[in-house]
Formats: sequence, C-alpha cells, structure tokens
Amino acid sequence: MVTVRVFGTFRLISGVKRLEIEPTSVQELFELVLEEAKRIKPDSKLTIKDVKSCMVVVNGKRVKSDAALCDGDEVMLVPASGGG
Amino acid sequence: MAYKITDRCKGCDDCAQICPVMAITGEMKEKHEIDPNRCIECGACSHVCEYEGILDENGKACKFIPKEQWKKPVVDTKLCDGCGICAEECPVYCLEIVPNEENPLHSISVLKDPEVCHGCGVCERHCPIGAIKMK
Amino acid sequence: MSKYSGYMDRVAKFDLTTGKLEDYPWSDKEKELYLGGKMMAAKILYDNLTGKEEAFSEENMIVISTGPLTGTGAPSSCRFNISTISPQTGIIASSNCGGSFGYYLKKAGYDALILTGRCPEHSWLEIYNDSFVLHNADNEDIWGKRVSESQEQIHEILDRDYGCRVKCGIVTIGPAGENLVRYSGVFSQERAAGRAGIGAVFGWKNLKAIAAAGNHKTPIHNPKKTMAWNKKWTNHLRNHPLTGDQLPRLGTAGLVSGMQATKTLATKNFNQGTNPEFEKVCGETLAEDFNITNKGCLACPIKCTRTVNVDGKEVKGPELETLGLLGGGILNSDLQSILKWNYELDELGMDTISAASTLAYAMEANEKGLWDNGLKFGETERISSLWEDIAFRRGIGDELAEGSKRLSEKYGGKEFAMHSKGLELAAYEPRHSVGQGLGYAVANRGGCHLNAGYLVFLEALGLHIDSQTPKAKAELTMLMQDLFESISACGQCLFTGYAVFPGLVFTQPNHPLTVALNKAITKIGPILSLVNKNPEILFFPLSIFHYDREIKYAVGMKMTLGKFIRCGERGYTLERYVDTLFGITEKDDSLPARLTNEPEDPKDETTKVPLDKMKKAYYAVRGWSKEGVPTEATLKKLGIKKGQQ
Repeated sequence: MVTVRVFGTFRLISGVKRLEIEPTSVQELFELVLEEAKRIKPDSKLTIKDVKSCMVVVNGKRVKSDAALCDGDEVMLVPASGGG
Repeated sequence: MAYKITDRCKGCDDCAQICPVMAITGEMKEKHEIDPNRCIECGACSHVCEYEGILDENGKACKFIPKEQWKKPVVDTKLCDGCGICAEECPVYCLEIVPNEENPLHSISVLKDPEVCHGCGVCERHCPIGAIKMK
Repeated sequence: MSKYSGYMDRVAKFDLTTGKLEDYPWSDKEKELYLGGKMMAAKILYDNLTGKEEAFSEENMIVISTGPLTGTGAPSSCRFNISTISPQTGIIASSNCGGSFGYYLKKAGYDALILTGRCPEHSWLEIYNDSFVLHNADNEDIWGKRVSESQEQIHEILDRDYGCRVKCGIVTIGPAGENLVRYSGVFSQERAAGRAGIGAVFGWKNLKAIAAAGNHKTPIHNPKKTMAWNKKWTNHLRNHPLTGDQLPRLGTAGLVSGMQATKTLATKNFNQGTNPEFEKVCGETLAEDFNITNKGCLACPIKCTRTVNVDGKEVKGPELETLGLLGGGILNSDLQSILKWNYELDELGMDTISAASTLAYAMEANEKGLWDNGLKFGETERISSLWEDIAFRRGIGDELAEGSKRLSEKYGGKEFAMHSKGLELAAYEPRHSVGQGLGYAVANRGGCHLNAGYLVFLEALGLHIDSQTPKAKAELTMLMQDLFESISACGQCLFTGYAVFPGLVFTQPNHPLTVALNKAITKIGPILSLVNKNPEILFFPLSIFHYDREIKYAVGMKMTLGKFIRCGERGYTLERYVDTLFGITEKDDSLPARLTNEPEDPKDETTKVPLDKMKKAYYAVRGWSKEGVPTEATLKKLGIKKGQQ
C-alpha cells in the first residue's frame, strides 16, 4: 500500500487530497491519481499531463518519473510554486 | 491643465452641484470658478452646463449632454483583469472589483451603481489595457 | 523639464522639525542610472548620510520613493519603497510595499519624498499637491490608534476638511511603531512595508502617518504602445502557471507544501526543515477551509492576497512567511490562531517575520535554560495577549520588542538566534537550499529572502537545480539580486519576475528541456559570470522579458535586458557601499552557527550552508574586496559618484 498526498493547484483543481493505492511505479501512480480525480469530478478536463506537472517526493526524497515504488512508500505530489 | 468656466456662465450652480471634488465655487447667478488645484479633469461639470460655458483641459468648449444620453462604462469581461485602477479613479465610486463569474480566480470591474455614474469617462481614460468603453 | 515620462520630475524634501519644504534635485542622468524606488533611495541616502547616523536621530532621514512605472498602469506597478537607517540593523533598511500610497504620492506630484528631522510633537502629515501640513496627532486622536483605525480616522478628517470624499493614499504606523518596537512596520491599506523596523523610525520622529493626494497625472511617453504592451503583458501574467494560477489560487501560502517536500520549511526555530504537522497549516488548507476570496494590490492582475474571516470581519490572510514561522516555526498547528495573530500583528503594526522569529528564539532560550520566560514551543495560549504586550512594551513584551539579535546578546544562544545583521530570517530553511543561505548572509538589509536573491525558488520550489552544491550559487545570487533590484526600482512587484521563466519549466518538471535546464544551471557558473560582468551582451529583446519595452514605451528610456541588470547591479552595489560606510564588513555577512555548522540531516554532511566558500566567490563576482567592500574600480565601472550626477 502506498499513501499519496496531493498538494498545490492540482489538489484544488482535482479535489484529490489523499489516497491509498498500490502502484508499482511512479507512472502507474500518475494514472491511478488521474483515475481518482475523474472519479471525484467526472466532468473535469484533467489529463495525465496535469498529474505529471507535480514533483514526486517519495519518503522525503525527490524521484524521477521512471522510479519504482514499494509497499509502505509515502508519496507527496507537489506542483511548482512561487511566492516570497 | 484644469477645466475652465467662460463668461457664458450664468451662475446656475449645476456644475458645482455635480463636481465630485468640490472644485467649483461661486454665488448663485454669478460667474463660477474652477480651482485648478482641485480639478481632476473628469468633465462631469461640462455635461451639465446648459450654456456650454466650460472649456476642457485642452481649451475646447464642451457640449451639454442631457442626462438620459450620458454614456456608461461597458467593461470587456474577456479583457478586464480587475486591476482596480478604474474603481480607484472613479470620482463617484460607482465601479466595483468582483470575482469574474467565468473564472473566479480572476477579477473584473463592474458598474455597480449606474444611477450614480456621471458618464464622465475617467474609468475609460485610465484603464491601462483599454478594457472599458463608454457607450 | 525631464526628457523622460513616467516620472513626476519632482522630489520633495520636507523637514519635520521646521516644516520647511524644498525641491530636491534629481537629474535625468540619475533617473537613467538608478531608475527609482529602492535604488533611488540608496543614492539619496548616500549623498546625504555620512555613516555615523543612528536610526533614532534627527540626522536619520526617511526616503519614500516610487518607480517610473508606478501609476502608469503597467501590471503590478503600484509599489513604493521606504528606505532609512534601521533600528534593527543600523544600516539601510529598505522595505517595499503594495497598497496605494505610491500611486497617490505621484498624484500629489512627487517621485519621492525625503523626510528629515523630527516632529516637535506627535504629528501626521497631509500632502495635497504643493501643500504640506503637519497636524497634531494627539488633538485629532490618531496617536495610539491601530493601523486600520488610524487610516479610517485620517480619511474622516480629510473628508470633513475638503467637504467631499478625498481619494488619497495613506501610510501609517501602529502602536508598535509609536513604542519603538524594533521590528515595527509602516502600513498602507492592508499592505506592509514591514521589514527592518521602519515603523520605529516613524515613531521616533513622532510621525504617525502621511496622507498624500493631488490631481497630477503620471505622464506616459507613448500611450498607444504602452496600452498595447500592458495588454500583452497582462495576458502573459494571466496565462502563466505561477502568476495566473498558483498565486491567485493559493497565494504565497501555497509554498508551504513545496517547502515541506524539499525540506526547506523552517520548523521549531530552524531546528529542522520539515514539519510533520504541516498539512494543518498549509496554503491548501487555508484555501479549502478559510479563504473567502483572493484580492490584490491596486493595478495588479495577479491577486495573491487571501481574505479570511477573523471574529466576523473580512481581513487579509497570512502570507507564507507568517504561516511558516507562526505555524511550524513555533510548533503551532492551529491555522485559525495564525489568521487571528496575523491580523493582530498587522493592526498593531509589526513585522510578522521578526515577531515570530523572536518568539521562537525566546522559546528555545527558555527550553535551553538560558532565559526563564515561560514561553514553550507548542504552547499557544499565552501568545494571543503577547502581541499587545510587545507593541506596548509591557512586561516580557518589552524585551521581545528588541528582537532576537539583542536578546541573544543578553541571554546567550547566538547560534540559534535566527537573524543575519540583526534582521530575522524568513521561513525558508537554507540548509537544503544553500544558495538561499548565501543570500541570507550577504543580503544588504540583513536576513531577507528577497534581497537575498531568492535562490530557494531555483533550488527547491520552482526549478530543481542542485540545492546542495555551492557551485554557481554566487553567480546566480548576484544575477537574481540585480534583476530583483531593477524590477523593484521600476515600481513593480517582484512576482511579475516569475513570468520571466517559461511556464513549461514549472508545468513539465520531467520535460527534457526542464531536466536539462536544472542540470545545466549549476554547471554554467563561468557563463553566468560572463553575463554578470558584461550584461550588455544581452541587448536583444526576449519575448518573455517585458520590462525593457514597458520602460521604453511608458518612460521613453532606452532599455535592454542587459542594461536592466546593470542598473540593478549599480543600485545593489551602492546600497552595499553605504552599508560598509556604516561599518558592515565581511564578518557581518554571516548566518547563525546552527545553519553553517550543524547538518539539518545528521546523516548527510552536505545539509549545512558552506558559507565561507560561497561568500568568497560572491565577493569576487561582485567585484568587492575580500573584506566585502565594493572596490574603487567597481564603483567607477558602475558610474557611482557622490553628489548630483
């Protein structure tokens, strides 16, 4: 089981905050998150590109989009942000 | 350069009544004066002068316009970004910045008080992106 | 008459002691060299101060300056700057503010306002065109008032005196400034020139507030082209993922989660870079559960301000700094309390960053047994009443009003008093963003994140360049500082600077271009250095860089990206040079030992700030001596001269 927490604009647009899924890779995780987003808001126009706009942090470390995932991983999806 | 009152003035006081910044003074039935230190060149006075005795900032005589023909600002909702300059500049506070219904992340300007609007066009002249047209 | 539009071509110098008003000369040459705002203020302070002036003295002066784009309608251009000698740092305090005062100062007919001397009695200053009137602030019951009450009262007085509603811009201090709290700010509407204690300088000078109004218009060089360019630029900002989506949707508060993910979220007085409870006090929670609507400063299409409900009133919500430092910074996870405190601090007229950081220092000093003050991390009951105690300097508040530097000199614990040059650091933990650490240490006004060059944006939040390497950080810091300096001097908000980066690098972190850019930046130090040394090579227009043509069309001044960067370098270097006259040396460009000596992650030695190494490189790229002083050659190269130019 992988715990995913979603942040930033993607969270506000998709409505996905937190979910527990069983992906084996980051790619698969992207797809499952999109599925969840479509379930919450069936008419949303979100695509896989929107999910992929997020930086992926696994157990406190940033990973690339081709990384594998293991049971028990804690994932944060965070889009870029600016402020000051 | 401020607006000016010419000798055609009959002292009816209509201009002083409408001036939003109290720039116009004068006794009834006597020639009125515009304080150049106060005048914001909105032009509201010039619309109401039946005797057409007011010159604009370029020295051009202004035309009397009956109230029912005063123009009102029309905001291009696609263009306006709610920057707020028009509302800040409006001498009679009749514009308001509200969330854009089509995209609540962005704001737009709306004419909340058409009755109060003098049709002076200050909003149109100050809009930095040309999103307001007086119609 | 000036050959440039955009400017009002008039600077007022007003002596608060005698009430004497005179015109201060400001030539076209100086307009070209220093643009306006912060850089203009640095030049004025350089020409008038010797390096011996104390913050609280008649000799200290306050310079309030606008930029050439303020009032022209350029996007996000309502800003103004206040510079003076800071009671926190003893060097130049520069603080930039939104609100409406800058817009109205230009309506009154001035590019800048120089205030000298000290009011003989509690006063507020009314400016209407040529008329400067000092009112007694006690008789009119304004002294002692909170920030919003003070502004309301002044509006009422003006409306009464003028016989109509007077459109004006007001700056005011709150009780904190009156009582010389060292980190009190100056406020315009709900916005603050919050940092470095400018409010206390107003307070010492017995100046409660300034209201500016008038009927001048900011001249525009080519109105038609300016309007077309404004339209284009506004459209660009609206369609950019940061300025058109993230900032309006989440505000700066949206940074919390990104900071948590990249371990740059200062927690428990910078003991660690992550906060396990961050989700309760992050921008998303603020947006979902508390935000009423987003608002913005005058002339701004970005609209990053939050509005929230505090005790039934719709008020400004917290920025990231406040959220971070009053949240995880003191181990508080009650967002509602932060909203309330944020409002309270604004109303009392204090800088939330320094207030929160001083509080965190006090908590840690208590925890370590250095100072028995009853304040504990995670215990928040006492805090609600504490802010007023600070503002009115009551009990322990009197001590906290001095800020963390002075407290650590008294009680010890300098290694965890999180300031640089006396100014408390913002909410970014720099041990996972070492370039930000360099910036904090060398920044002209002390531990400010923006004056630092804001590399945390490149290292963690926006881009993902190597955050731990010292490589190229000196060059990048200089480039970013110089760019920010110029943007700010124009009168524009720094947030417009995000839109200089193509949206793709933010929305597609895994795009080959983004990946390549992230990898390349830290490897191209020598190229960046070349740009820093010869920015003139950037003479060509870039479609994504809008400032050059805005200045060309609205002001009528020739501008290129390179010239823009060079202007920023001049302003930054001059401000630094003035600081060195006030005694700043290489030793003051420092960070608390916690950040340079203790790795944030005990298992990873790279998670501390390699400051000495980066600092040397930084002085070298800037053309400063090993002691951190701009050399004669550098000053000459930049055309910096004392006196009228």
